[in-house]
Amino acid sequence: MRVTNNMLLSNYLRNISSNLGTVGKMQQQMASGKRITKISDDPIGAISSMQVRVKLYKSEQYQKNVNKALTWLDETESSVMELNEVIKTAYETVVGQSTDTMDEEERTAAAQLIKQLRDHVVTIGNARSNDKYIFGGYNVSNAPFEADGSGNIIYNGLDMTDGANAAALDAMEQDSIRYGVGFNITMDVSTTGVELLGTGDDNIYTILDDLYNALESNESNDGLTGFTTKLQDSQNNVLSIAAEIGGKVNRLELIQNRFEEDILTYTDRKSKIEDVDQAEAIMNYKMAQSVYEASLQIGSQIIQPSLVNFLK
Amino acid sequence: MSSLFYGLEIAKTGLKVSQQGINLTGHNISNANTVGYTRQRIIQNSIEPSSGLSRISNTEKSTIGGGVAITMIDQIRSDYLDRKFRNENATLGNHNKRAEELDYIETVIDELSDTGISKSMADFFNSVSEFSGDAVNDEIRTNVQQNALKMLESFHHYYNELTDLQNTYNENMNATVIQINELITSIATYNEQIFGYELSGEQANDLRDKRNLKLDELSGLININYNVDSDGRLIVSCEGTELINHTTTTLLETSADATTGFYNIYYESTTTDFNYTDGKLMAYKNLRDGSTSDDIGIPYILDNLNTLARSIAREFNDIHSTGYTKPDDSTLSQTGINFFDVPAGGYGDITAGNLALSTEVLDSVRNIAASSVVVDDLQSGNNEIALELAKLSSRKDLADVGNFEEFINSIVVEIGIESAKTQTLSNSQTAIVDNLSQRKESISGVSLDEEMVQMMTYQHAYAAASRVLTALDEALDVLINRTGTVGR
Repeated sequence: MRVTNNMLLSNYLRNISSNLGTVGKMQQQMASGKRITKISDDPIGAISSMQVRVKLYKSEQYQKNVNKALTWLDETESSVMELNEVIKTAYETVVGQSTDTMDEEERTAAAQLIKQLRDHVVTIGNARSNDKYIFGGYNVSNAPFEADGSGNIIYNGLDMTDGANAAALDAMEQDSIRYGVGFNITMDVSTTGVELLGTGDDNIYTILDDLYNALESNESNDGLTGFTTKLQDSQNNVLSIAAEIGGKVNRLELIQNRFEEDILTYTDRKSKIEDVDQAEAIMNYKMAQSVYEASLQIGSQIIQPSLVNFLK
Repeated sequence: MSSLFYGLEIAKTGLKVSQQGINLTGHNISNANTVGYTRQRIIQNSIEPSSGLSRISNTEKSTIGGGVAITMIDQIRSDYLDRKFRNENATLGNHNKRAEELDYIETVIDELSDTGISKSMADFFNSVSEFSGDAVNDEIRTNVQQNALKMLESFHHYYNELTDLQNTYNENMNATVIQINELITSIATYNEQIFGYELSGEQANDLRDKRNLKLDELSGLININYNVDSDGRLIVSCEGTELINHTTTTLLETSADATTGFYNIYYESTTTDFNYTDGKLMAYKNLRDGSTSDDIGIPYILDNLNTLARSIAREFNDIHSTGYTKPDDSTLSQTGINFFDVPAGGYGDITAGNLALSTEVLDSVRNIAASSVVVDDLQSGNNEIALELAKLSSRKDLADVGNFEEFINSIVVEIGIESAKTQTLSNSQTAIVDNLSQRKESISGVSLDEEMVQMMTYQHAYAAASRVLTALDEALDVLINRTGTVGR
């Protein structure tokens, strides 16, 4: 094939330019640390990378939500256990008072103790976590429990012992706050006041109130025996709530661990796809550089001589 | 017997031709680096003896020819390669331009960085998720509002950049048509010049080279076919319609559409659309108008972004408007508030460029609804609606898009794959065209070594011819000055 000077030159230029392009690309990879700067560099890898990114963003947020839920449940658990202590103390008092050896003075003293315990139930019921009331159901800004002074306990504006409010109170029991703690996972974190204290006349406040009245009026021992059963039932209720909360906390901690692992996995996978291995990058760069230099050298030997040099 | 002067004439032709030869070699060498130059060669033939048809036969069979004459100065060029080159050049013009522009579009729609729609959408829904954990806090509500505004900014940015690009392509189309018209006019002018010159029987080599260059340039802009008819007139057509017939031209004209501002290209003084299927003009057109997944262009990308914007607005509003806002001292808790603004024409009028928050949400973050019932003293913690809103980003059953994140990802990847594909096509087409260029250069290019040898040949021929002249001159001298001087 006939070869002209221009052909040699244009071949040479094309190759030089292509080699320099490779050097530039290797340099960019090394400087940015990224193997993929545009999706067209590796479309399939880019798809995986983008999916992993989304999961990473979301996992970090869910982790925050889980922590929030755990804080809330923590506070709930302490309050529940405090209520348990209240019931235990009341129970011991009743048992102690159910012997005829107790006289009216001691009965009155016990009544005062019960009165204090009764009022403390309201304080527990109005417990807060991060300035939100935790036992009010959807009511987190106003104290849910109020004693009306005549021995009735008002929950969210409704008298708990009034039979007419039974349906409304029942509905309120369903109003518990949920948090989103994972992809399509929500968790019920709140315990409503109704659940905690008990329904209707069997709620712990009314029980304690009745007990107080009984002791005040120096009720006979037979009259007091009914209270022990009621207190026991109340305690069982509270303990089962505590168990439920314990279970939820366990589950959330498992979820939390899961997210921690996941975040590590996702970060690792993202890095594998997107990032460039520094050692490999430097090697590639050096190779591209040496190819470029070799082509420069050879070019200088091809272009210069021609027949003109040899004719006299 | 032929005269001595006849011999002088013969030598003279030798000198003339050698001189021309050296001149031509000089011409070739000077133009060795001229773009589009085709090397020229002298075609010389021997001159036949003028008494070839004599009625009287000569006793001495000694007639010789009259020397050498140049019949033509020819250029060495392959028409076949020219045709092939121009065919492939149109495809190259198309793929090259498209690959270049798609590459640029990819840098605009950069979802791999932290500034894309993907990240801002994730940030927004994350703040909604945080909101679902605390329906009371105003700071978190403000976060939701701010992240929403950032997300809107991403949408607007893409929309504006892409629309700008579309307008640029439109203007480029106009500029290319102007270029095409210039080329058509100048080819027609060359046609006239070449035809006129060649009436004398000579070949207009340098003019032809210039015309070929123009044809090469035109072939990169649109796909052309050309023929030389029996009279030597060049006819250039595109998709069957003649653009140049010798000196008659059919120029193109552009006319901007009244509403979109996009140019339609017509044959001059008609409203018939210019028919073409390849070349750089086609690349611009496809980028400006391509609206399906088989024909990806800016409209396709914009359509998808608009669908996503619409879907986010609609799905979010549908849930949000059933929720109740947070009251304060002067306003009660309300329902029916949209989070995103819905224009008068409905959701269909929402684009990625005009997606906005509703005036209520812009006015006050209290208007971001979390609760499923009227918010009074007893419902301040109600977050049911906020939970549903947060779930939106994980749902895969949304109308038109499936899942928000997956939708934007699939658009972006589609563009990436198209760009990679076009890059490959462009590379392979470049290799083809380069190969053809090489072959053309191999045939038509000037080789300095070869010209040196030619020059030496002509030089020797000139020297030899002048020797002959000298010999004849001396013979004449003898004849004239020294013959018949006996006795003088």
